[in-house]
This record gives sequence, structure tokens and C-alpha cells, in this order.
Amino acid sequence: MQHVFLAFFVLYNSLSLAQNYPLSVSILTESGSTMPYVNVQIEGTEKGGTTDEAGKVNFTLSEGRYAVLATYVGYAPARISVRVPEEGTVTIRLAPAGQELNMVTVRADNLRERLERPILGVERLTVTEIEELPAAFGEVDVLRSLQLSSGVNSAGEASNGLSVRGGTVDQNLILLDGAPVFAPTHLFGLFSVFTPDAVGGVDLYRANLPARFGGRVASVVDVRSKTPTADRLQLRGGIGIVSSHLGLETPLTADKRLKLLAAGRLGLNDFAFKFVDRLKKTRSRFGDGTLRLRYTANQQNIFSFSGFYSRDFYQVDLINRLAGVVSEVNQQQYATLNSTLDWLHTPNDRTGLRLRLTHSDYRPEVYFPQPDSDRRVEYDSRIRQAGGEIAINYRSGDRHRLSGGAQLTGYRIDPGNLRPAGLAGLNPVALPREQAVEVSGFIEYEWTVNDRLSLSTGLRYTHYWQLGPGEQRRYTAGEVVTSESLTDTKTFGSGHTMAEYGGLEPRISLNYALHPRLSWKAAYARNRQYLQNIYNATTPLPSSRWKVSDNVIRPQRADLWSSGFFWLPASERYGYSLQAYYRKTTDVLEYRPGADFFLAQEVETDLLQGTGTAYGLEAGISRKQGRVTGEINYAYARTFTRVPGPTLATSVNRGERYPGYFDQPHTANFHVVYDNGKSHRFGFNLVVQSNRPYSAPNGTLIVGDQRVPVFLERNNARLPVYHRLDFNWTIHNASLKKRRWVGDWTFTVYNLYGRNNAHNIYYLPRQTRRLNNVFGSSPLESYRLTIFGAPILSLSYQFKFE
Amino acid sequence: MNTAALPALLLLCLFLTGACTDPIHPNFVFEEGFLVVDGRITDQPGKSFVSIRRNVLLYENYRLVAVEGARVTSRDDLGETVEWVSDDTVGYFRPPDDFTAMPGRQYAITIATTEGELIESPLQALPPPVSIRDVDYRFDQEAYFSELRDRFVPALTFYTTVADPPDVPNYFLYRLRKWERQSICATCTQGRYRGGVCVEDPNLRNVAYYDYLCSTTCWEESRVPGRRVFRDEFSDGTLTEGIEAGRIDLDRSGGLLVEIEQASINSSTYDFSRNLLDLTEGGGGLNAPLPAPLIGNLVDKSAWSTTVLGNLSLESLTVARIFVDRSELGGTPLPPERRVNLEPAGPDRPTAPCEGANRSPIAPDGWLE
Repeated sequence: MQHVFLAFFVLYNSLSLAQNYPLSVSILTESGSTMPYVNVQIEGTEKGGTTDEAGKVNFTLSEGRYAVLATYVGYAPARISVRVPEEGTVTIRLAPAGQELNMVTVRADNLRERLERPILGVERLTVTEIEELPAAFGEVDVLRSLQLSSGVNSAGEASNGLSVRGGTVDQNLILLDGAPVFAPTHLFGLFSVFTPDAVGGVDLYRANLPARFGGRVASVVDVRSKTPTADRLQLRGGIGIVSSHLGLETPLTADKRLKLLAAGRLGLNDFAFKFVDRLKKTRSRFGDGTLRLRYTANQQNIFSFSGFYSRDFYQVDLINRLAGVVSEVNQQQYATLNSTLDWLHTPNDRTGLRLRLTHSDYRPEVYFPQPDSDRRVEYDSRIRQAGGEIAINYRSGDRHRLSGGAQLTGYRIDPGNLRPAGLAGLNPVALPREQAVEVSGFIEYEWTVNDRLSLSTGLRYTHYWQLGPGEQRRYTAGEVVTSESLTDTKTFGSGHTMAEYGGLEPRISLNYALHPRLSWKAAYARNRQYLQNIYNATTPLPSSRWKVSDNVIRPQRADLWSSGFFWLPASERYGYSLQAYYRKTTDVLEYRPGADFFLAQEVETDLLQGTGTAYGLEAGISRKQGRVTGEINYAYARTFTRVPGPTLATSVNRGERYPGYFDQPHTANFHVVYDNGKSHRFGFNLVVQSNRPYSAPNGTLIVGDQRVPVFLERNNARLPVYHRLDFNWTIHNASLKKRRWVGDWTFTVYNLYGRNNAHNIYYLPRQTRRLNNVFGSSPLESYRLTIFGAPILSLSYQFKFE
Repeated sequence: MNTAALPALLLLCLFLTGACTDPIHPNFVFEEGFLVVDGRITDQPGKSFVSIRRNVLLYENYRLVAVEGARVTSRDDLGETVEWVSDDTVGYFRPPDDFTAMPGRQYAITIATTEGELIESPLQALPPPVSIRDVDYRFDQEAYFSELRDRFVPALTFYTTVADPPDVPNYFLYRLRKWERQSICATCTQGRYRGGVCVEDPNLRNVAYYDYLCSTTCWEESRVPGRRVFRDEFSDGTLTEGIEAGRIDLDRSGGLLVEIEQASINSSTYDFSRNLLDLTEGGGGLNAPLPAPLIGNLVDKSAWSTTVLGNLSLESLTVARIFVDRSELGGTPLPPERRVNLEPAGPDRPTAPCEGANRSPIAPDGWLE
């Protein structure tokens, strides 16, 4: 009997081992094009191959888990984990080298990757994912897409940026090819500025920032332009109701070593305003363009250059009350000019070296045309940031990845100039330039200790100098900074240190597999911020002033602790995540009641600094496989600020803790996409969240003959709950025929059921006895400001020609 | 409305079927126990005053109650003190009729309430007056957009020209007064005007009101809501033209006499007035300034440490008048807020005399018709 059992056991195992299953691997570029002749290796086996013309290669493997490695010259190698036979088909997207010299790697965002990667609080969006999301006016939009992630909210339905985990807009570092973008939106926040046909991908780091990033305390949004990879001319573009865009990719040389991507977008549709009585005096135009060149000198050296330009112009004809400037009309213009130069050197497949130079130039202007004259008074400010980085990456086997580098960043700010253009009655003003330098060194180490534990550690050291020439105002120590406490002013020569700060910024993140399908992650990060955007409002205007840290304005510093779990059940269809975080920020900026920064010399007398606290819990369910994919996210998030001071005028809310401007305790996102696998794709997006706090008056007072609201505290009430449902329907290549010209029609409905979500509630003195039925006997009128108060339907046509 | 934020709002409105702003019932988070002081010391006799009110919550109704029995004293930098006396209006205090402040001298005020609070302002200098060189106006049929009316509003905007004194910071506060001919001198609700008074008539329950014509030519004076401020930070020492002093909606045709009062003020009153302007006109928009408490230059130095809102401003006044014949503007006035409803003609339909605190049968100085 024992022999029979033994024979049966041997036979069973033999049969089991002999059972093989097919695995088909497809290789695509980031933009979705197939990639032939890519080397694909099944690690730990003798199996390997090269993709065919369709970008596919097939293997036969026994049951088990395998690592599939894809390599191709000029592209970063990519490795994914596959279970056979559960996954019979896998797709790997290769990113061009040079944008993937990652010290901490975020690879394909499948659920297994999220289970295994050590880094916490990172979201990656590909162009395909961004394009699937419904957006207002049918525009593809990077920042709106990020708002589906837990902890990421818009800073208002139409505002100039994001709030990440309750942080303010300027606490996010938004990069395009490594160069900062200071005004990331067009039309005061309706669209992000990134040229639709040139976006290659986006990473959002909201928890554990890799040590190579620094300079902001809440998050980093790392946008990469698309790398030109086409071997023949490719065109893509789209026509929408607000703007139209066009992009092309082409090799420039016969040997195809030099390739070009050029894309642009224009919004010149403000002629439509004249048909609406209320808008007939309004003008609004915008445009942006991206240029990218990539030269593959040889297998070891790749050079690339990217340039970005964005410009907005708008005009309103209402009275402008910017202090002291006489004008009836207000015209605003702001422009960004960024450039990045990269050299990637890969002496072998384990080592990479990147040299990067970046430059950002942001210039907002305000024009005041004079009545009955062709002259105009002009105001402008400017911020320029130049950076250089050298980074080395070394990978030892599969378990160790070590990288390090150094960065030098220079800031040059012209806070404001007023040019009267020869107008009598107005003097020219030029506020003194501010300049600063930041030197940083960083080291990152990613270590897969064993099958259960992996670590991602980093250490960053920054040192910051505010440099002369300039005047430094000094105030009585221990007293509130006011004009009265100014003791003396000291003049510094060019290059002399006026103020300096610095310190270590440790970053650590670990991933521990409690079970093969359940991982626990924990992270800690410290960040410093030396550059601030100052504005006496909930969110900044594009023309809001930037300010470097000085002897009075200390840099902000944030310490963030986070921890979470990721569970991937056996079917691997769904992934479940849970994260908690706590962030404490010192020296957050607040504004004294009535602060005015327009061409102000002593801005520090209008600024206050306090302590910020944010904490929250984020839970999510993801499904990335099948025809129906999507996510459900819920976040409980609180953020508070405390600004103590001796008087009402030098504190906020009498020094008590109060909700931050983006304190939104509950947020639920539901996003689902159905793709029929042929030509139709439907998407729904539902957002339900606690709205922002606002300030309700504590009473009224009478000044002269006028009743005026009394505000003794900020953020003491909350706007009504925000909820919204969006829908999109894309018809892709309706003819289903393989042609060089492929067109997609996209129909979107933003705010499907027309919810009147409040953007703000404001109060005015009672003007007439009108609307007694609404205002009652109140001495004040009150209005709810809604941005999208009705369903917004749009139809756009996008095309590709390859 | 914050004008810089408007374009996006307006663009968005283009795509909306409804309005971007909806009137809603005002929500308050009432607090009680603070004092509200509004006052000014001027270089003109009869124009200095202080009003003192205290806010209370009575059965959840918010009220500003006039403070009676307070002792109000002003003092100057030479140590001279002046006792102010209670006005006919409760909570109002005025200095003696011959009191005028001298530009260049410093003044402060002390208020002692019967509850024991001791409110003081610091000694501050009264700025010298600056003459108005010229006044002008501009009419625009679509001067601004009113959310309340949901339409563009025709309005006259008034401007001054000032020769700005060089090398000193100057701050100006503008208020407007206006005079118009008045044809209705009495209105009776559910009653008739008889014997100089309204007599209730039960038969008129379905008539909201009757209007009665003036018996003589009549002018009515009124203050124009709102104020404007200007600082010479960018125009020091120049002949500054086009300083906006205020705006009056075109709500009827005919003559209009406007008095522009230009007050030279100090920087703290300028800051207070600008906050006030933000609160009364700048609260809307996508990017409204953060609401600020109207804290001026008054502090309770007693052990109560009561929060004191409001401001005592020191003002040197200059005035100028301008007459406008609105019939010549070529504009279309706003439709009237209420319909004139004269009592049906009859032998006993009376007229009403031109009388009252703000009415006069004598044409004001500067009236040109």
C-alpha cells in the first residue's frame, strides 16, 4: 500500500510539474504604441525572447510566480511580477530612459506592484488613465485627474492649484520635467497648463517623498512630458469648445537618433462672450506649447531638451481697486517659460548618471489702461528659478538600489514693479529684488531585505542662504513684527548672506509582508520649504506674490508620519488599501487681518506664522483588471492651524486652534470605467465630500450709515456638502479598421445632475428691501457663489495619425 | 467683488444655465459682549462725534444697543481736555459746538462706560487738509454688474484731482452727499394724508400706500452709501487726477447736486477704511480677501478687556460740489424700486409740506436749475 501511495505521489507530482500554461507579454510605449524587438526575459529561468512586429512575445510556463524583465535600448528596464496561470496576458509599458533614472522606482501601477513596493503615498497616472477621466469642457487635465486620489482635493472648483491632505496650494511642488511651474492652471484654475498632447505621465508623492525631492511641505506633483519615440511622423490633436490642440512626433534625422515632439494648445474662443450680455466686456485667451528633443548619441549617452511656454490673458471692465492705482479696467496676463536639459549616461545596465539643468521663469503682469488714452499703467513681478542636478544610480542585483546626488537651486524674485508709462500723477515703483541659493545633497537606498521586508530610505540635507544685495529690516526680539517694532535696517552687499537656514531631512519607508497577500507599510518624512506664495485669500491669484525666507519669515518645516496596509486577495481583481497619517508643520504662513501685499515693502508686518496639524485616514478599493475597472476611495482628513498673538490684530481666532482653509473631514470618491474592448468606453465619477470651511459673521456693526459684518474669527462655519456626478462616453475608432488616422469622439457631462455646489458664501450690507422673502429682517444680504451650477455638456474630437 | 477673480467666474457663467450667485438666508455665528465705537474728530465745527454701542443677544436676536451714560473726553498733545456731551440721539456724544481740532496737533479720546470699561485711543496727529483742485464725473450705462438686480447698472462715477503734497504720505477718505428734487413729500400706508398726518382708513386694507405731492419745490439731502479710500504711495507729490470718490446709480433723471467730502486721514484709519471696503464690496468673487475684524485704534484698558471694534478717525475735511443734469446724460435710468401711487384725484386730495430733517424748500448751494 505504501508503494502504491508512493507511486501515486510521484506520478501526481510529475504530472503537476509537466503541466504548462501560456503567457503572452505585450510591450507598449507610455503613449500606447506597440514596441517590436524588445528583449523579454523570464528571470530565474532560461526562457526569453524578443517581441514581434505587434509588440508581443509568448512563453509557456509551469504554475508559479515569475518576474518578467523587459529591456530595450534607450528605455528604462521594466520588471513586473506575474502569476501563472492566473495571468495569461500581461502588458508592460516602457518609459524612455532619462525620465526613469529613478532612485526609488514606481513601476507599472498594477495592484501587485502596490502590494510590494516599499514607498508609501505615491500615485502614478499614465496618459491613458488621465484620458479616461471625465473633465469639464472635455479637456484632458492632469490636476483634475489627481483629485481622484485619496487626500487630494481641488483648492476650490475653479482655483489655481491643489490641496493635498489639507495643505495650502503653495505647499505643493509642481514640476514639469524637473522645472517648477508656479501657475499650474489656465483661466484661474479651470484647466491645468500642461499641453494635452505632450503629457507623458504624472507621479504624485503625498507621503514619503523620495530624497531627491524637496522644497515643499505637502506634496510633489512630478509631471513628465512625453518622450518622442516615433520612427515616422505621428500627429495627434483635438477640437473642443474652449480650446483646440495639436501635437506631432517625428524623427528629424535619417538615422532616427534625433527625435522631436512639438505640441500646442490655444483657447481663443472668447468671441463667444459677446453673445452674453453679462460677459460682453470680458476677454480671456490662453495658450501653451511644449517642445521636446531627444538625441540618442549611442547606447550609453542620451541627450534631451524640453521647453514649455504658457500664457494667459484676461480682461474685466469693472473698477479695479488695487491700492493707489487709478484705473477703470483690469487686464491680467501671466506667462511661464520653462526649459530642461538632460544628459543621461548609462555605462552599463547597473549604473546610470544624469546631469540635469532646469530653468523656470514666471512673469505675471497687470495692466491698467487709462480712460480716453492709449496709455496704460503696467505692474509686473517675476520669479526665476534655476537648478542643476547630478545624480548617480546604481543597482546591485535585484535587492539593492543605491543612488545619490547633489542639487543647486537659485531663486531670483522681482516682487513688483509699477511703470506709469509717462502718466502724470503716478511715480514708478521697483521693489528690491530678492535672491537666494539652496544647496542640497541626497542619498537614497532601496533594499529588499528578504521576501517579506523591503526598505526605502533616504536622507537629504539642504542649506539655504538669502543673499544680498538687499536691505534687512530688524525688529525688537520677542515683540510682534509691526512698523512700530522696527529697530533698524541693515544694508548687505551683493552675494553677502542675509539669512541662512538648513538641516537634515530624513525619509524612510518600509514594506513588510504580513502574509503573501497582505503588506504593512510605514513611512516618515521631513520637509522644509523656503519659498512661499503670499496672498490674503483662500487661494492665490496668478499675480500673487512669491517670497523667499528671510530673517523674519522662517521656512516652514513638516514632519509626516504615515502607515498603512495593502491587501490583495487571491483573485487579484481587487486591491484594498488603508492609510493613516499625521503631519505637523511649523511656521505655516497666515495673514494679518486686512493684509495687503500689492507693492508692499514691509510684507513681514502683514504676515503671521503659526503651527499646522493635519491627520487622517484613507481607505480605498481598486480594480485594475477586466472590462470594468475603477476605484472607491474614502478619506477622513482634518487640518487645523493655530496662530497665537497678543491682540486680535496680531493673532487669528484669538490664538485658538481653528480649521484650516482646506479642512474637509469626509471625502468619498467613486470612479468606474466600462470598456467593451472594442470601441466604446463609459466612465462615471462620483464625489461626495464635506465642503470647505468659510467665515460666517459674528454680528454686525454700524459705521457711518452702513451696517457691516463683524468677523472675529475665521472658518467658523462650513459650506454645504459637495457632491457631483460626472459621465463620459468615448467612441474610439468607430470603424474598427486599422488606419493611420484614428479618431475618437468624447462626450462628457460634468455635474450630471446639476448640483449647485457652493464655492463660497459671502455677505454684503443690505442694499434694498428686495428679496425680503430670502433675507428676512437680516441687516445683511448673503449670497452663495456656485461655479458649476448646471450640467456641463461637451463634445470633443481627438485624433491620431500614425 | 474681487475684480481680479472675475474673468474665470464670468467664463464659467457662460456655460451655466442659471446664475452663478444665489441669494440665501444669512447665517450668523453670533457673539456678544463687544463694544462698537464709531467716531471722528475733525477740523470743522459740528462734525465731530462718537457713537457707542454694545452688542447683545436677546432671545437669540442680535441687537446693537446704544450705550448711555458714558463719559467721553478728548485730550490733545498739550494736555488740554474737552468733555463731550450726550447728543439727542442715544449713544451719540459730541464735543461743544465751538470745538475744532487743529491740523498738526495730536488728539486722543477716552470713554468710561458705566460698566467700568475704559476705552482709549492713542494720541494721533490730525493730518493737514489737502484741497481738491477739481471734480469730475463719468457716466456709464453699464457701470457695474449687480448680482441683486441681475443686470448691469447705469451709474455716475465721481473723481477728484488733487495736488498731492510731496514727501509725506497722504491718505484720503471720500464720502458723498447728494441733493435731489423731491416730488413726493408724504406716503401713508393703508391710510390717507389729512391734516398733516396719516389717518388710518379701514377701507384701504387692499391699498398698500398712497403718495402725496409736495406743496412746494422741495430738495432732499441724503448720504450715498459706501466710501472710497486713496493713498499716495505711488503718486507722492504729483498732480493726481482721476481719484475715484464714489459712485451713484442712475435711478432717475433731472438735476443732481453732489458734495464730495475729502478727509485727510492717517494710515491706521486708511487701513480700517480699506478693511471696511473689503467687507462691504469685496466679499464675493472666487478670490475674496479673508474677512478681517474691524479693529481700529481703540482698546479697553480696564480689567474687563472688552473687545472694542470700530475706529476713531482724525479728519481734516475739504469739500467740493458738482451739479449734474441727468437728463443730459443720454442714459436710461434704473426702473423705480416702487411705483408712485397718488391718492385718486378728488377735491380733498391734499399736498404735503416739504419738511423733515433732510428736506428743504430752499435750493442748496450749487444747485443750477
